[in-house]
Amino acid sequence: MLIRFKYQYCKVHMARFVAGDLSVAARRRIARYIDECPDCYREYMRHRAFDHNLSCKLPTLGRPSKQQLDGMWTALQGELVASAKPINTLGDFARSSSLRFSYGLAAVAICLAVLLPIALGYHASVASVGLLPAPRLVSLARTPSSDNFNRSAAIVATPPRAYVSHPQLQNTPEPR
Amino acid sequence: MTISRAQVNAEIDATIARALHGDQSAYAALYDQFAAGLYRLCYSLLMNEQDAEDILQESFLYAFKNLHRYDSRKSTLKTWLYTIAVSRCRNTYRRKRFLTVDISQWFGAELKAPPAEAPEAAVIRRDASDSITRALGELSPRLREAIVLRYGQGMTYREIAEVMGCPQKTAESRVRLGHQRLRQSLQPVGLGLLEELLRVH
Repeated sequence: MLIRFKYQYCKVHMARFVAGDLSVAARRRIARYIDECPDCYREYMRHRAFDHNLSCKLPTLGRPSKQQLDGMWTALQGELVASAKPINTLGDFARSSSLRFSYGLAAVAICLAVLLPIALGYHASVASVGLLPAPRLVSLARTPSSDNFNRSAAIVATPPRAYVSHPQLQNTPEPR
Repeated sequence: MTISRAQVNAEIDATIARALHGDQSAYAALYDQFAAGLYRLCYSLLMNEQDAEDILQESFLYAFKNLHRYDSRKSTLKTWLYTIAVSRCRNTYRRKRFLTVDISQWFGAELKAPPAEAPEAAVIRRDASDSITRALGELSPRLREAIVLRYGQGMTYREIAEVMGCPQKTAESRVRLGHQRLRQSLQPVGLGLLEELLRVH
């Protein structure tokens, strides 16, 4: 049972042990297990061999040939020359000026979209406030007995609805 | 006679200074010094020759055009170049992952595999030396980067952390985790076969 525990402990911590990434106490404990337990020793040897194999094998992976490197250098030189070339050809100039023109056009359109409503006096905030209602034309009922009826329409000013309908303003005097 | 690291760095700085003054042979010298290592790094991460060549060229092009920005007090030229290449390799994984998305997942349908041998099986069968390549390919990109930089390029944990843009402890744990995964993955192949492979190479 104890040997099994030692082996499991070694198996879990062996990578860190080989990499020198453990605390001194843990290192000493694993070193003792390696000395005492044959399974732990085998695990340690396997791990070290694997570590060594990786260090030998991986540097050979994808090693380029001389021709391959030369070919890439030639291509790289071509790209360096192309990227270092200044914009002096007619095509490049036309492309860059057309690009500048389209960016300029977009900027002008944005400015117009923002400034035009302001210049025309359109304000969304003002438009949302209710305006005072216009005076209402009221005709009085005409009867034969009412001689003193002046036969003209009387203009009666109606109270502004916005003031009257507002709950907080219902008890306030009407504006003149 | 061994050359110290400081001496090597001083030589590289002198070459960079010559390159910045317009000496074309200095660019060639820098390329000769770092191209092979950088290509191996790109190939190990991407497992594709064409992609590795493209990334190598892009990385050198960027580095040569921005050589005036390189500060030798902050990092070595090798670390700087490797950082550029790893960042480009990451962009390539992302692009490839997007392009190779499984359409059957979108429609909830499971497409049947072709009757021919599975590609993974064919790769294993083709050559036993591909086992490490296959095992590396199965690792997640971050673990693969850590393993390749540690064992393929022989970098210190500090340099790995700098190239990968993470704390040193994270770099250490990625190397450890990658090591464990590789061992698990290569267990069926057998460590004896690995020994044999090393003898062949």
